[in-house]
Amino acid sequence: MGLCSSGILGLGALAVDTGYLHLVEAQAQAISDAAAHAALVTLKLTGDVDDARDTAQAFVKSHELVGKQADVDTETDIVFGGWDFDLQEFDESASYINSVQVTVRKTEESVNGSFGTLMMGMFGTNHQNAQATTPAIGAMRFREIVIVQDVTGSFAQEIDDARDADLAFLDAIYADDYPGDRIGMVTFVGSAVEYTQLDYVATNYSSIRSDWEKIDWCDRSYYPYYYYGPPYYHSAPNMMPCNYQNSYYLWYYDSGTAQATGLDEAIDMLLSSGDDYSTKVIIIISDGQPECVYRSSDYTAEQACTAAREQDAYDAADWAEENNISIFSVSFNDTYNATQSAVMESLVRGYGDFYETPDPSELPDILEDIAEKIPIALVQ
Amino acid sequence: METSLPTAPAARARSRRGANTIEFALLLPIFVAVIAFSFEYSYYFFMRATAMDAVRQGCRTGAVVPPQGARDPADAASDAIKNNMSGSGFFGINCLTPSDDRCEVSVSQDGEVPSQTLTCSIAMSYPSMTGLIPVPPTVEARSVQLLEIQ
Repeated sequence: MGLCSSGILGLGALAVDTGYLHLVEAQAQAISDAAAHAALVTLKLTGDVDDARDTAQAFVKSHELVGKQADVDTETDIVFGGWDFDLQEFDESASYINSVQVTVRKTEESVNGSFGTLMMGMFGTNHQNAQATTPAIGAMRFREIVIVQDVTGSFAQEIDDARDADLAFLDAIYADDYPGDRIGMVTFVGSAVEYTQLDYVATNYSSIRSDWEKIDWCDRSYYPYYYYGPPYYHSAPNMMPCNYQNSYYLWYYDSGTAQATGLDEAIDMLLSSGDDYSTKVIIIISDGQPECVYRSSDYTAEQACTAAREQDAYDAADWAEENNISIFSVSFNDTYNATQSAVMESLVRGYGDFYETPDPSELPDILEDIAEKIPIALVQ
Repeated sequence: METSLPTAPAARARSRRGANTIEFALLLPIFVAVIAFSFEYSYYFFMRATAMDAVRQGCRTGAVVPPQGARDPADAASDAIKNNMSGSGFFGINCLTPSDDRCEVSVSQDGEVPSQTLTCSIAMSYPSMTGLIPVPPTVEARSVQLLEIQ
């Protein structure tokens, strides 16, 4: 009977303390996750590892573990390194930092020591060790971003501000210093071209910036505009032509505005990038609603073409969403056009957002804001 | 001597049975207490872990909501916590129903940019399963998350 009672008591004690151990481990895991997330957010905002480390420790300390303030050793329990999305591995010695590993523990070697058992003390086990069952690893996905820039004739007056905005965005991404971030640009009028390919910002910043400094509105260096002279005549040989498919018969007329063509080109670039794990984002910047400009006076056909271009834009946005591509939409709307505003807002997808301003000088701030909003994916 | 010899083992057996009964009677409350304690605290720990997970996930949901957006991060977190807890099986709790007043969910947005945080907590009254063992009257959980978009 004595043996039996000891056995039952022992099993009961084991059951209770095992449950307690799992609870402490789960708490440690939850605290680790919160700290890893906070460290990554700070790393994203400041790019400073020491700041991120301090934030992680502060977040650990803002929680309680076994009734006491939790704590970590900032050297051994908070480790920065690289996360390889292909291998799904954390590499402490990686040449780049896009990841943090946080381990909250209550062990004999940890800052706060082990924790007391509830019942196992009867059998001589007064303390137990516990830690997060797996270290919380937070990693930032690298980003692939394509700016879809409207370069129609109507953007002529604001193209300098748009260029400044694009460059400000590029600088903000470069400042983050993530080695896997890539950026490209598509320009569009009634059709679209790849202005710069998806390129690594960290290593090719200078060449990308050099190309982007040459952004201009579309090229109109052809008959009859050179008779008219500026501002109608506009030579921009590195830019796409304003006229419809460079057609001889339609050269007098600009080809209108087709956001869909720009979106389609950008989606193609992102889907063929070869990185299935990246965060894919499109930022479309435009000052007009989708429209066709016909040479003839067939207004019915022109209106049908315009409606089709609007629908094409929505379809392109849906296609992006189907492929987990988010869209930020920036509408420059100086003489308020409600249709433009509605269409541009309707193009937002995923975690993208809509921005509108009548003041072109606000465009750089808007794009810098977008650079900060591209979110962090936490891998665990 | 001749008469007592055959009866001695039987008497000893009867005596041992009596002793066993007394021992069992003395130990039974302890067994019951141990088993009740195991049940109570195992379930209590399970529910604390469940509440903690609900709060952690809900707070994380709120932490990715832009503060300037159409939805408030604190509201998003509060809704997510209530939703998570309602599916937890915690004594049939339904935090989404106003009539169920057992859920005390609290979410606050604190701090200044770039250190705005969400502090999420939940407190629920915990009824003893057996009524035999004193258990903490509430299950509480808390999580602090840094807002992803400041």
